[in-house]
Amino acid sequence: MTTTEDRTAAMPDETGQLATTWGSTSGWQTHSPDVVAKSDHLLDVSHLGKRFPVRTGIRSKSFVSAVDDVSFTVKTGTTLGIVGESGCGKSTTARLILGLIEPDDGTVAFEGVDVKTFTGGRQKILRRNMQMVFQDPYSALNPRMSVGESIAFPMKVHGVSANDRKERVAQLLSQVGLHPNHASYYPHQMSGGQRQRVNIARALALEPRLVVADEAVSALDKSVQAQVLNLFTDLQDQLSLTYLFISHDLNVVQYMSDNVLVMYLGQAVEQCPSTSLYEEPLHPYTKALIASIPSVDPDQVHSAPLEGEIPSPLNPPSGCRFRTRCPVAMDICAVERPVMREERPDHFVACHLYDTGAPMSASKAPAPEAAPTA
Amino acid sequence: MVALSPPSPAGAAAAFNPGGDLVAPRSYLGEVRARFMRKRAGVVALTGLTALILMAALAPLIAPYDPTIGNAVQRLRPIGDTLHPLGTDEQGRDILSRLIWGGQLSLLTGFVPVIIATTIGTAIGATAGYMRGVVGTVLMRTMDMFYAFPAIMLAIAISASLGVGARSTIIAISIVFVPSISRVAEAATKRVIFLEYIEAARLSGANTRTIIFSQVLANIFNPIFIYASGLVGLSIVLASGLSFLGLGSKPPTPEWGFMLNSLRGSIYLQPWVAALPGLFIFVTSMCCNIVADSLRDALDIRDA
Repeated sequence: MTTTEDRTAAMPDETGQLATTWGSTSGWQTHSPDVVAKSDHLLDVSHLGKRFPVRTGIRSKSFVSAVDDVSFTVKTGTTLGIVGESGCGKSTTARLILGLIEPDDGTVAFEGVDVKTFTGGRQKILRRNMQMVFQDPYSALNPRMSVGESIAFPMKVHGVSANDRKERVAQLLSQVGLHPNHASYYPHQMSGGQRQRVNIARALALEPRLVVADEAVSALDKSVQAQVLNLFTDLQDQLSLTYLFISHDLNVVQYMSDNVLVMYLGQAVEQCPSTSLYEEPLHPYTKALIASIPSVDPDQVHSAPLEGEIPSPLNPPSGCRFRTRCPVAMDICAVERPVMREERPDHFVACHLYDTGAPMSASKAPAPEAAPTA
Repeated sequence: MVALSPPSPAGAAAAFNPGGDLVAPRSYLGEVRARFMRKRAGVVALTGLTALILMAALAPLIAPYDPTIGNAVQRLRPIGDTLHPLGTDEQGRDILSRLIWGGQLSLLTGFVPVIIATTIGTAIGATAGYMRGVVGTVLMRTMDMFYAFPAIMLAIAISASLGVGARSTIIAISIVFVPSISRVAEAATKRVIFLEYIEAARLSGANTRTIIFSQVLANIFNPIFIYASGLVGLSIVLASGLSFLGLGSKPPTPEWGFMLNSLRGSIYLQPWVAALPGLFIFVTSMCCNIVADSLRDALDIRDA
């Protein structure tokens, strides 16, 4: 189904229009191998920030800093995992990227084009290229719509004819491991794993290039989790998808991702290839996260877990936001916010431990500052 | 121990489709009907409601007497009279015929205002609930202003300004019901719009109108439907109150509420005859509530 012919058959009235609206920048058609984007960065996020107003009194207002100065890039065809505790801004980051909420600071660029430039009718181009798989397989499907209607809805919005929709729904259902007859089912008639497959099918309906999975397997049983994760990897191979895979589960993220971004209280603290995450975590928070994973080996001695609660984002700690729970916090941590620096090749960390000339990192080789790249 | 042991990719696809072609298509309406039929009270109430509507519709065929012409000799006959099985009123008119004919106007003033008010109230409430912000506040606070008046006073005021007749009664009662229905609709909408399927719909690029019509309305239908069904009885009573004040149906046209009022003077002479119109209002109202309740349960398959 990945051939261009099939796509054209499914969306006959769209291709022509797209070619004109998308312009010279490669878009819709870049699934076919002969048209390759000039840059291999599918998604560039720079200095993304979002504050939510919170009413603290009758006239006073303060702001929750949900996402603060987060930058990363995702290469075409790869998976970036975002990991962190609940409330660290993972889901907000996802919604900012998809345009479900407006960022206060920073930019999101899809294939090098700022998403803010996709307004009016052009917004649909962006919509079909970026889709999302939601966390809760129960509330992510309209209980009053049959599975077929739910999957067909995005295509209906994009003007695909009823016959083509029906064909494509059957095709998508088979693709996610369900039966075409499931189209007549209602969400309550299905299991959690089946519903999540339906969610995936709906996200794929418009043939997106980027799929954001926000805790897509967290609500599922472990056995079903593995099946859905495998479905994600299979689909990535078949459709050359790019994933942004968000989870609080380090194992899931590590299994799925090529690169991992660790977030703490709205800020990115470490970014590295997923293999080096376990082998040599650099940031004290990442180290603590990895130490907190329960082991099946009863003899393994756990290092001490993190003390205390995650601070309120209403009034985040000055300097490094992790310093209140950091076992190796220094004086500078309260004063100055650490910047992301490439400590090892492709391994970025935002921590004063690795500052050039800082006492703790005196033995380490000084690393030039560079923009993190996934 | 860190990575999940990956099962074979083929197994992942097959595990959810073990029956292959045994996956049979399902019909939503078929399931709803089967669930409704299991509820005895709902089936009985639906039968009763159908019978009442048929009775009113077939009034010219089944009514034994002219409902507007009385016989002065036969005034206030008791129930079980040989000529008038349900007795006669204070002007000697046959109660059975008047009840049958009265059903036309009473059911009309019971159902039509509720249907009109539900349509308008849902539109206002869903818009206010979805837009929130200034639009929502303006809409809902405007609705709140109607709460300053007692329902019957508001109905009287509107009805009086529109003139006498069944039409103005229906319009007046519709306006009275709109604020409360829109409030129910707004609350239901606010519960729905933060669910992820609304976000998914927004992600597909659908505009607000499409989202409200395709995603919101079906999901706020239940609470509105239940609330509105309870208003049918109240609507009949309000209409009868307006008739009593000379603002609704004009005598001698039969109408249950007006009959109840006019027989009020005979309550010590023929209490059972005087209670009959009230019984019809009560039965209609109860049937509506029970049917709505059973239908709600039948539609709400999620809880199964």
